[in-house]
Amino acid sequence: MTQMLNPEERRAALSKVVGDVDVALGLPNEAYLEADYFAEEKKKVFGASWAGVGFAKDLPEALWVQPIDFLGEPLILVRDRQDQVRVFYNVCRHRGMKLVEEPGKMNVIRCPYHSWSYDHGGALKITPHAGGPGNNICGRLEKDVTGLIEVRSHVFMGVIFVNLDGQAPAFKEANAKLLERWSEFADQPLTHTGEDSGFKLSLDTNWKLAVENYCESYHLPWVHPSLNSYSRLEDHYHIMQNDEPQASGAASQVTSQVTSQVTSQVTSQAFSGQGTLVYSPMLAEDGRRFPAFDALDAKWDKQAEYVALYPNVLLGVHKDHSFAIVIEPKGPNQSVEHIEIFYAKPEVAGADWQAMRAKNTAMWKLVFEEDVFVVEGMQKGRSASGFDGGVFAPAMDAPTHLFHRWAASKMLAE
Amino acid sequence: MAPVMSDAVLFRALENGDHKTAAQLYMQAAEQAGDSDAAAFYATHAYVHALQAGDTAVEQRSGGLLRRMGRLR
Repeated sequence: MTQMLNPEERRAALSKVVGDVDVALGLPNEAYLEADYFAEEKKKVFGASWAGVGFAKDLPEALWVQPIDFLGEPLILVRDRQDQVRVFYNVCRHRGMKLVEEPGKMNVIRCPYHSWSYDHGGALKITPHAGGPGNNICGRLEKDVTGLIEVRSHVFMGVIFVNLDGQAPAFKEANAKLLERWSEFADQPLTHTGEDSGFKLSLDTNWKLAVENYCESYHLPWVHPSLNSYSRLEDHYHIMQNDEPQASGAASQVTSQVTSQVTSQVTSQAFSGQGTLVYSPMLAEDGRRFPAFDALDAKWDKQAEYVALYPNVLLGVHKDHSFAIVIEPKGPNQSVEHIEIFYAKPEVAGADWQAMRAKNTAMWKLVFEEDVFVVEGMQKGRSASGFDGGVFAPAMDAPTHLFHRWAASKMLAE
Repeated sequence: MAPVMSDAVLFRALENGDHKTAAQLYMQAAEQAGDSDAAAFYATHAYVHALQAGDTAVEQRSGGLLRRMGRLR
């Protein structure tokens, strides 16, 4: 049974989402089920924002090119000769041929059709025979302007972000509040140790449900009993970058952030999530710890924070490692979580840290796998045509509601 | 255009993705060609394969030849 709403019904439903948390409803079912809604999100939610599309570590050296598909858009992630990460549409400016099928280091980006060739800055190097056999000059072509079409990109916390519509404020401007909040981590070099520090989860769920679940700590004692052994619910606090009034309740009273506006009229990026005051898992029986990032405030000895940077990047910071999850939306009810862990110091890549790295990866994998039945269960529940989007528990669900509100506002924008 | 290189060697290089050898063979053909059109044709292929191989020597030779002929900007 279709859950698609007509434009008036959709506007009415989304208007109920953007209200205060104590009266709001969640996003309507069509937001999780319908291909038309998903297609509109591509433009209004992802295209208008800074969306995560991959990881800089997947471009291991200069001249590396990685083709990806993001929401049906063929892109190439490129590390240029100056070691800068850049993103282009994976399409030849000539006849629209897809340029690159396989990742690798390549000296030039050559179209396999007529061999139009581009450098890693996107500039045309040659258009062979374009002016006739043996003549590579075509009056209509200007090598400097008929290059690859670049997509705005930015690397933060190891993640490659893109702004597809080119209209969002610069990444650092759009995310100034998060950069300020995590200023101690933002410019620290990160060490990725290879395959033992990454994994992915294929989920039968809409991308938003993975975000929603990540935003809140409410579910921790029920879904993550292992976490609860060292980080109890009452040790957690909300993180919200928005214009919401401060929510009441135990978990929110520690450091809820109530700052600048985030609504359909405001273009800055929003985020929400949760933090813990007692992060300190024991990964080695002898008490050994991973080395910490430089010059951290003492509060990070036990504190850790987990933020969903809307729309699709989930981040976590700890004194000794961070992680990033890029949620790849594959369809209304299909998503892939790409999870990568980064360490504070390069020596952690060494063999003598291998066992602890493996234990840390296993710990996070267990946590994220424990969430799978939840995000897939909520997806199944959304087929209940009588479900109205659900209510929020104001004390505990304010970060989740903030995401609903942001996503609804994006869809309400003209 | 008269063949000025071993087709078998060239085809093997192309099949194996050996752009360096292909670039050198095409450059050799360009420099031995009997007329400017043939030279430009071969030099064009030498240039593309040199770009792929990262062979700056052949890239400069083929590119230089094409530019002198007004066939590459």
